[in-house]
Amino acid sequence: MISFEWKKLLRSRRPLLAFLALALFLLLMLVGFYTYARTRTGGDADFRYTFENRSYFNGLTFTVYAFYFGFLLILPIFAATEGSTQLAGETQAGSLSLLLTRPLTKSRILLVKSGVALVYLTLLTGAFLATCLTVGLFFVGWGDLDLYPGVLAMADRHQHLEQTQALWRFALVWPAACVPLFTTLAFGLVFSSWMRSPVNAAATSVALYLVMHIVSGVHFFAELRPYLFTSSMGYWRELLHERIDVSAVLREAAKLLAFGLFFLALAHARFRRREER
Amino acid sequence: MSEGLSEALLFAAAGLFALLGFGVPGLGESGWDGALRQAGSLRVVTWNVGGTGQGSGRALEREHEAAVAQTLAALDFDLAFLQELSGRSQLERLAADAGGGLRLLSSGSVGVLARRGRARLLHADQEGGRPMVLIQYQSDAGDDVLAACVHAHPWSAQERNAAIGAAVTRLLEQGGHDARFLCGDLNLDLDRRARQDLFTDDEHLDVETYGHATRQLVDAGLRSGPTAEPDRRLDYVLIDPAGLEPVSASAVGPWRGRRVGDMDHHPLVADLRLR
Repeated sequence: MISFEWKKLLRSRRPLLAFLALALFLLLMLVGFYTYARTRTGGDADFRYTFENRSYFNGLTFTVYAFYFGFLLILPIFAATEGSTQLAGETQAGSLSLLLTRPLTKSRILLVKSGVALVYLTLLTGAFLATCLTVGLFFVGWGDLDLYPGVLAMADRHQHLEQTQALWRFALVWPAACVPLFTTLAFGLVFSSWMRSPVNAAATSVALYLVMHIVSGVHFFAELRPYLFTSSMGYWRELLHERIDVSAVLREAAKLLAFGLFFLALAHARFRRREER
Repeated sequence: MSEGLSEALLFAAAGLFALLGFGVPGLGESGWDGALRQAGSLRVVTWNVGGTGQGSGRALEREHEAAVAQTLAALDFDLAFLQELSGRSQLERLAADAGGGLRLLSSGSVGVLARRGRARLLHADQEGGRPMVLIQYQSDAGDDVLAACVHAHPWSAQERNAAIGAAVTRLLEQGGHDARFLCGDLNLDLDRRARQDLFTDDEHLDVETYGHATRQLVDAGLRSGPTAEPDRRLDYVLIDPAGLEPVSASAVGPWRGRRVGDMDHHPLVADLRLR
């Protein structure tokens, strides 16, 4: 069943479209980055008191910015869509009933589909991160990674990582970033198990993701924030600090896994009980 | 494995991870712990006591003076820097209600109260159009501390940059003191929890301003949580690490639950020790 799911995924061309969209995003980021670096760090800005240093804008900084924005705004949309199409897509195509005529439990169908989708998202994330690094290092420039407080809420004090150390940290970021994508994937699966149209399921899960993403970043919803999984999406930023707060990283990862497994259990409960037509 | 068991295991695993993720305290943002002053330490309080005034801000109202004085008395501070006062007479009433015996220094809407030791006003100005005071404080033990307090512009990042930058320069150019710090309502919100500050007109410039100030001074209240509503860290105690350090990890932070009326700031308390 696993190879069957892979074939279906590749035949759907979703991976190719996702990668092309991410490549376009990177191209736009590159243009934006050059423009920003030229106008804001070359002395055009009227800052009387500043620590500004154009040398901290390099390929690694580009990678952080590009991956952070792409991770929060693009990859979760692919993850939610992927989750949403799993069951609802099969239902609408009428292939789910055929699948259930084979000696397969609904649990196995759901878990295999989720597993294949998660592996796909892991590879997509890795490819995106590797492309960000390649584009950044070869088109923007090599150097150490410096992060300053305030910028994308990456750090609350100046952080400096040497280039090699930073590259190793990006290697850690890859698996860490897949945890929130699993949560988003499982979120999409919930709607996929409730709705019979993949378009409706994808639209609902993406819309709700965006609502929660916005709410979790705004001051006024401080009380609500801990209960939204979107608040922890960028927890991997801690891995780019000089000294990693391991307990904070594990705590946020545990929250995301809790949300993800809960969504998966909800999808399972609904899928197991529903009548197939 | 039965389907029911798979489902139960998924729910159980979710519960287990929820316990691991939510069951332990947060990122140390517990605020000031309300501890008694340690002997020989310096307790500094900075508090914007003004009200939001439907967005335009207004000075502390008379009906709330008693509550503010009660908090100040309970804090047993060495130095308190108050912003958004209506004037000297209000500072005098607060000093009287907070237990008396306090030394008063004031300039415009910024007032300073000193409980122990001696304090004198070195400079009072409108740095970058915003109130700023520079004082010298001598503790009973003879330590000589230089302190600046600034209330930066709430809406303009450019004006914040000018006022905070000027205050940092003025503080650091004064030599011959045992310790130095800058405090006040800097109106910079660069906390990691909110991805964007909705109240700033130029977040990049705020980053520059904070980076400039913390290049030589240490943000003693880092990770102590928001100091103002809604969920914003606007008040700071920036210390010169050559002369000062917090007495413990939880010695600096906002004292929550002391706001009255439409006041939007908590008092930020810092228990410091001279090196």
